[in-house]
Amino acid sequence: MKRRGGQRGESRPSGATRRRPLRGALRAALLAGALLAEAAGASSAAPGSPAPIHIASPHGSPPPSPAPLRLAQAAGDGTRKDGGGGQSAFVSEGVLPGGPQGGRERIVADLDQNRVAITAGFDGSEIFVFGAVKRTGPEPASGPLGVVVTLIGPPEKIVVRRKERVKGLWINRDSLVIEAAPSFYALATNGPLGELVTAEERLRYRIGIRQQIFSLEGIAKAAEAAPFIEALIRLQERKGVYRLLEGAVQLSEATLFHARIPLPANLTEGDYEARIFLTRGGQVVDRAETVIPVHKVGLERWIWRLAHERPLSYGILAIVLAALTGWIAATFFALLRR
Amino acid sequence: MQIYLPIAEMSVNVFVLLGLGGLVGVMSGMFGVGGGFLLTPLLMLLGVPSTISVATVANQVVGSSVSGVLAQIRRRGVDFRMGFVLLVGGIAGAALGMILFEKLRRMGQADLLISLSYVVFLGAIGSLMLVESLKAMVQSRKGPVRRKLHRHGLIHRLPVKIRFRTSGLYISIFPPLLVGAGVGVLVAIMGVGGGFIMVPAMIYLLEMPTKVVIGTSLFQITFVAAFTTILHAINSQSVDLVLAIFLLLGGAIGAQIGTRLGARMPAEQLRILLALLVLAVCIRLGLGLVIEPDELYSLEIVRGG
Repeated sequence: MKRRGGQRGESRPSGATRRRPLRGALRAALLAGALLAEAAGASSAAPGSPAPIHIASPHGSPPPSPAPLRLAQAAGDGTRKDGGGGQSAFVSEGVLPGGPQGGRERIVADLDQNRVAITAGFDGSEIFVFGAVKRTGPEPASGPLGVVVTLIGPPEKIVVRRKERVKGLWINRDSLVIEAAPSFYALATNGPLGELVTAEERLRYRIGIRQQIFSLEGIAKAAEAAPFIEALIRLQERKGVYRLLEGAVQLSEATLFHARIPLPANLTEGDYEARIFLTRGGQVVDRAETVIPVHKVGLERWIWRLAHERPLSYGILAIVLAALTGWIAATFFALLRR
Repeated sequence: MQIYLPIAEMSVNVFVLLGLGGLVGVMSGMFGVGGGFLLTPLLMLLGVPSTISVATVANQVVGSSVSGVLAQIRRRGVDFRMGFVLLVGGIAGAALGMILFEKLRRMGQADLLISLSYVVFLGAIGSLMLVESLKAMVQSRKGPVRRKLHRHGLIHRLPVKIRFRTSGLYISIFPPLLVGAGVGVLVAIMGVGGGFIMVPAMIYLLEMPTKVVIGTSLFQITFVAAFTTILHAINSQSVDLVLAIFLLLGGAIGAQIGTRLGARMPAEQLRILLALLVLAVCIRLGLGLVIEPDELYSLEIVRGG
């Protein structure tokens, strides 16, 4: 876990965001094509389909194989806010040895945008994660291949309260303070999560919303805390900030994968961590992660900073602006009536 | 068209905001009340956190009453001396209300405080207005009844009397101070202008002449709301300027429609309508406290924590 906590109100463009933008489609295609070619050369398990040729031309004629096409189209729909550079944004950990038989499998992946800007008209966004499995030997036969993508928003301290009937009124009584719960959590897989990753591995790599919630205060006993944590997850799911997207990762030919993770409009600012886990027979064999900064820009940012850094000036500005707006509008309509 | 509210940190449709402001504007144009008592619960329904709703409506009240004050000053409808006394009380009340609000907010009871205050005050004012206007309707059919010019009650026996020339009153300073303070508390905890409390209190308690009631109450409300906005901005950074401006724009349009609608209806019927509306909001909020909610749990994100 690195760089926790929202970097609110502070300009912090990472090196990655400064890189010259390049069309997502082209990058996706280049990366995927190169990898597939490499994989095909290195391993007999890689499919001998003509896919790489077709993805390499993002605006070309429809190829026979549907999956790579979807990849190229998806990345090239031209709505991306920011492109990346020539190399993958993800840092593959590469810490885990491959399965007992076969060679190592590693993740090579990238995103279509490496930061999200909250502008005045912000209405949600989407992160498109794409990549490939790089193999140094033949494809291992130890169980199904799983690709799990998680996107975790900056943690928040949340108080969960439960209403109780007191003298006929429903009022808040018991509460549980959750020290840190992600403000956003999406988990996308290429199949049922339970079949792709074992419970122990989920615990070890903190895959799953329950593995991301930490509570210290309030009700000490776990049994009593459980309904509060359930409620937190339920309410956050209803708000659309916690989502389990089983089957949202498209995996083709056990090599190429891509996933779309929708971001709601009510995003909290901060660093979002994107993590990809590659699993084989329930065991995590590789993981990669990167950070996507989500920040307000322009006027939105200026207002937020003023409100938090110089609250008195902000308060006065709010009053003056409100008074002016009210007065101008009233004068305008009075003139109109004449 | 969506707009991202920088303080509430959420994206809302511009037309929903304009509509909401407009609805409240129609109300204020029709009945001559601020409509804050409707705006705060409506914003909360929209998903704006309760503290941000309260603080932002306080800011909106400043904008929606400022042009009214200017107009009233031109018409000599403001008793400045009374206004200042009410204002002093109002600022003290707002500061007190703020302390109470912060304390209960920390305890997780801000929503209860807001709902309970709404139920109590809207219930009381709504029933009073309903009874009063029904009586007036009956009386207007029977013919006018002469009211005593001066009644001498407790209010007239209090010390520190001051002459309020514009209002033609010679009364103790304490009742207006208390009325002002009461309204100040309400502005801080309910995010309302408090006109719906202030106007009846001025008429029935202070016995001010009707021609200065509206102007003087607007004068006091504008400044108390401005003071409250600053307190909220400093204490909890919960004033959303963008939200307030869109509500004001909608409100200005709505007020034009409301004034025309109001001019077509007889005053007594308008008052009954307003009383019923106030009671309806009261009952809706009251039921929320009594009926078992669908969701017993609620979340509060601790900001800056």
